[in-house]
Amino acid sequence: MPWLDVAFHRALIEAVLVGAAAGLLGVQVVLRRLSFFTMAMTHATFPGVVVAAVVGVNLYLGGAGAGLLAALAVVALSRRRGHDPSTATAVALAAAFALGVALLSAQAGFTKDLTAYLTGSILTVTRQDLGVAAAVTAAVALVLAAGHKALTYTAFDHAGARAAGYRTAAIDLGVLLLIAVVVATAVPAVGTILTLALVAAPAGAARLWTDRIGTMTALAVAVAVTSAVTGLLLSRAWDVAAGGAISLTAAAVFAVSLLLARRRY
Amino acid sequence: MPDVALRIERVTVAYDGRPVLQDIDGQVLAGETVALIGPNGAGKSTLIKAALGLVPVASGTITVLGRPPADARRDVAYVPQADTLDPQFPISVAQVVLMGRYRRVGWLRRPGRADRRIAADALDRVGLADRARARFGTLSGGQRQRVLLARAIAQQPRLLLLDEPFNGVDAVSQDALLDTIGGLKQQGAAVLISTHDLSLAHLACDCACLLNRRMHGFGPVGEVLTADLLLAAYGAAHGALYGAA
Repeated sequence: MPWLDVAFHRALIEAVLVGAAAGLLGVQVVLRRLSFFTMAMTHATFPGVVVAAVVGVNLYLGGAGAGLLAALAVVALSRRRGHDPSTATAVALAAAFALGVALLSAQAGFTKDLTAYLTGSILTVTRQDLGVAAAVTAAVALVLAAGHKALTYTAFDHAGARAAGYRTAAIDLGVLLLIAVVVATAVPAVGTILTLALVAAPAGAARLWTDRIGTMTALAVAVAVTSAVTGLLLSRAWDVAAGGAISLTAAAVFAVSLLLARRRY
Repeated sequence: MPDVALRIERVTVAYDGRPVLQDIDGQVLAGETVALIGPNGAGKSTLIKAALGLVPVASGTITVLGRPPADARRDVAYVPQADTLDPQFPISVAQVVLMGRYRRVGWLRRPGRADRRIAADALDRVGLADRARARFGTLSGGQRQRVLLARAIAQQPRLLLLDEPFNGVDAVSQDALLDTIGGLKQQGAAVLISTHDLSLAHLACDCACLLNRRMHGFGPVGEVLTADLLLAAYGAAHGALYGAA
């Protein structure tokens, strides 16, 4: 039997790919303090995935589409002066999540259960899922490498970057869209809700061990991939949900780093 | 007659239909340092942003090196207030200064040896060459301000715009900033400094633009920063204070 025909093997590859994409992007999320926004994005992705499943279109398209809409909505809200975007984001987060639950419950006799979308089902990923994850991981790596000067400048000194002639609004939106795409890609592996752990925890942990962005990026990818693979192995050994095991592993690395590392952010 | 680096003609800037700056005139010549003086909320930062082409002018014109502001950014360097930047950001002093080269390097290339040497020289000019490897946030406020000035120097600009560079800066860093600005001026750069420190304006600048929503005076420092004009710009309390000093 070909190696990739074994569900567990496909799950391993998916864990590595999704871990790499989440770790890479997590650096931008942590440096730009977008963890809360990413949380909102994961919730907004959920109704998109549900609608796609109910209507019968591609789950990635549904999830990414809903994520993009959420990103645009947050940008529009945060551009209004004198309004705190966190309240609007929090409300949108709850509403989007509620919409997903309502839609799913209205679908009598629907076979796939809620938890698969919320927390993933990595053991059921297909070759097509692997193809999507590989393409997205490569694209994220390429975009971050090509844009690293502009990304660093805008994350560090937004006003200065604007003055230097960078199109900061376009760059900000690009980062948000990248987050939406990565969250949607990670749905089969860890679900919409748990993606945050794989994005924020490894980069957050890496930040505690180094003051260099290059080192931080390498560490974040290493921690994310290791967490994903370790979580998968633990879930098989102890017969617990893979999405949960992966997220808990990443969270545990973050917690240990908080305790042991000297740096604070 | 030296070139005019920045020309501001009857400029009005409005936010949401409300004018925040009205009928401003002034200019900065090459090799000249101009102080932008006014109380908090006077519109100093807004005028700097307008000169960068980041805020649209409702009426009037701003010309930077003979061009519209947005077309001149390559030759203009902006120095933000150091305390507006995240001190926890994982970036070294040398990397911050090298940012001054980024726009010239372009998107895909990496900064080359020449860029690194220009950045190192700029850091040396503000007296912080020995801190190149330190994390930006570990420096004192005054030292961070000097690093940002070094980043602006690395950009090799013809016009420098500094937003409150002396706020919360210790004496050593203040002297270093003044020395460096003096050196830039001698090399022919035009410098616009917003500040509410009148003694520094006297010390560092040739001309002053006295501002509070509208212009209360423009010209040589000694002629503009007078008790009468300051009283008009700042209101009674501050004017009386200055008169007594």
